[in-house]
Amino acid sequence: MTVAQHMLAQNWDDIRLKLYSKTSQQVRAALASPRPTWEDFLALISPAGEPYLETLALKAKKITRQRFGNTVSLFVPLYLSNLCANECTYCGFTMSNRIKRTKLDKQAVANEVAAIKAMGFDSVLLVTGEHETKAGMAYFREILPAITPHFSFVAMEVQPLDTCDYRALKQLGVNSVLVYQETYHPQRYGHYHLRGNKQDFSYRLDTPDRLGKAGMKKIGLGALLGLSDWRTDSAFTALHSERIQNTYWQSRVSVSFPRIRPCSGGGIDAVSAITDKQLVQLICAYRVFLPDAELSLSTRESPWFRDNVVPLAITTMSAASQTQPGGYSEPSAALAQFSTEDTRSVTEVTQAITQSGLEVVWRDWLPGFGCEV
Amino acid sequence: MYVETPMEINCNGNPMMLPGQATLVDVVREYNSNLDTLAVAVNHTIIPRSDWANYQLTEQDNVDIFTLVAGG
Amino acid sequence: MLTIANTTFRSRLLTGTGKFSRPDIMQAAIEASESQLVTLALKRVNNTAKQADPTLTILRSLPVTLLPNTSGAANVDEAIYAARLARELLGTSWLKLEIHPDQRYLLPDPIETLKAAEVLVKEGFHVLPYCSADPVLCRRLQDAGCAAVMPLGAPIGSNQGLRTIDFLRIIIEQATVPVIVDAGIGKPSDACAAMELGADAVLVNTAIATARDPANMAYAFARAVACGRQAFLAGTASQRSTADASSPITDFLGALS
Repeated sequence: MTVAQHMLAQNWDDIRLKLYSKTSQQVRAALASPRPTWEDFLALISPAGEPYLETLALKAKKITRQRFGNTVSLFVPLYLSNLCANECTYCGFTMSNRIKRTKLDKQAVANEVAAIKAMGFDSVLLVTGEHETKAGMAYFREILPAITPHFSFVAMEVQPLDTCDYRALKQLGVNSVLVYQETYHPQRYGHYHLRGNKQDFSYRLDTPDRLGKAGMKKIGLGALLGLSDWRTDSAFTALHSERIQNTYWQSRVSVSFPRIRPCSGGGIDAVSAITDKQLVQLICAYRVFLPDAELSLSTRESPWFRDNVVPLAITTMSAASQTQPGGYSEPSAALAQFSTEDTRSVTEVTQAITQSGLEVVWRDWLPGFGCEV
Repeated sequence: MYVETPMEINCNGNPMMLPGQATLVDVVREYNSNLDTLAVAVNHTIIPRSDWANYQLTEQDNVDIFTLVAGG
Repeated sequence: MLTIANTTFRSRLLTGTGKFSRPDIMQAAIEASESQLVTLALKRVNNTAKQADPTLTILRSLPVTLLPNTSGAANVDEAIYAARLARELLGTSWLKLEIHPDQRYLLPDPIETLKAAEVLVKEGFHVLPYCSADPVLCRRLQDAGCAAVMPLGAPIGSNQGLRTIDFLRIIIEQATVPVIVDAGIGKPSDACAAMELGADAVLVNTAIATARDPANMAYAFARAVACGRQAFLAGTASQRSTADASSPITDFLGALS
């Protein structure tokens, strides 16, 4: 049974009910457990867990420092394209949105790489809209050689691909791939995704399995918080992450917590908005449940929030992000995917991290012996 | 007229003389009549129980006869 | 219910049939253990003694699944040969794979075991490998398609208990197939501890066979295994957790909406 099949066998309503009926006694048991289980995770993110935030945060902080030391890694997103062949009602890139569409050519990519390197980054996240024909494998093969030699770590957030394509990306120097399920609620997923290949819920759900089979070093998971009940979606994400980590044990798991942000075209209001306080609860619960996972926080969150939450549980964060293609070498080119909250420069972010007693890690990883199959 | 010449085989490491037309089942019966408690290989190839009666042995065959016994 | 290779078992206690003083004592012990998976070993037939070992006949009369092992095999080829012989003999795909070239402690050879598991899984066997309590090895065996893993608690027959407990904990935490703690379990409390830890089952032989009263000891083991399982499912009692009155993050958390 693949992990995706196991996930499909889970019942949303059952998990939701279980989660919302957790008691404060179960929360205390979860906080006391030396090896918290997924059931404990449910208790920690439940409404009953809210009053225990400080205990949870202290526990998360202790685990994070113990496991990762006093460090946090910085990366920067590089938007390659905002072309998209999907209709997703919450996203600024959605195909019916009449924004200027663009795709960086090799020269434009080189300019962006130079601008990013000048900022000091050595870890990059490549982002495109999901457009199989115009920004698919042919395009990646064309531009990756202009990118991967310049960074010690290259992650990608693009449409789901087949296992053989992931193997090819690995050969081309990609170390990590992030594909978010958006929501694990199949019907709601259908409501949000009106056209395009992204409508295929199961294929997307199977993506982490394909990445694992391809031997991708890091596999990113996440739900877009607010599309459905955020607690239940997080329960699914956590279970999915744990299973992927256990099954494809030579890969690492990375979890993100994007909240719905305003975007061009308006976007949508969250069905289930998650407050700042609840987001801290969620992030800390992830750390307690998955001590080794990479937890990542983007510039969607405010400087104040990031400065305070990063020392508790975050291992990787972006900084000085531009979410429109060409944004680093040629600011305000096309419209952005979403608006960022933390618009500080790299220097400002670095200073804030240092002030909180952490060291910024630019290069966390060096290529191994290059003999992998 | 056909004359049977005896042959020598090796069974579980011991030499054994057999009439020339002997089949595997003849050898196996020497050990145990409960055939379903045995597994047999000739020259390290496992021979299914159903083939024993028709399996013609030849000179210097190595026959292994195993059974299951108490063990952890 | 314990599920291995799509087969479910009520009992989480696997038993071995070696070292009993008499066949009837073995039978009484297996019955008292309520075990549903029982191991036995392959042996060349001895032509001097025409009367057969009664173990197989006795076991066939009991409501148990037979789990032939490959003990005596010292390398991949011997283990594969033994596995095929066992399958031919019993018409079963169940197999406890054990390869121990070391005759003193009977410790399993991890390299030969993994190689043999890869071949035997492809041949359709339900492979349950006896192995060192090595978390990476267990994952490799799991990846190879083994139906379960059987890490040791201590050397076979040593009755030393769960000497490998810290590694068993990691193996149990990581496994996606059942973990059966095999070897070294010396008394019911060891079995109970393994089950409390979250093991899916345990295999006991020597501790039952060489007890003064094997049938009673088998009964005690059955109770201990059920008890440990129950405790695992119930979850260990929570210690009282006290929040620190105030910490450097109190201000931040208080300011959150």
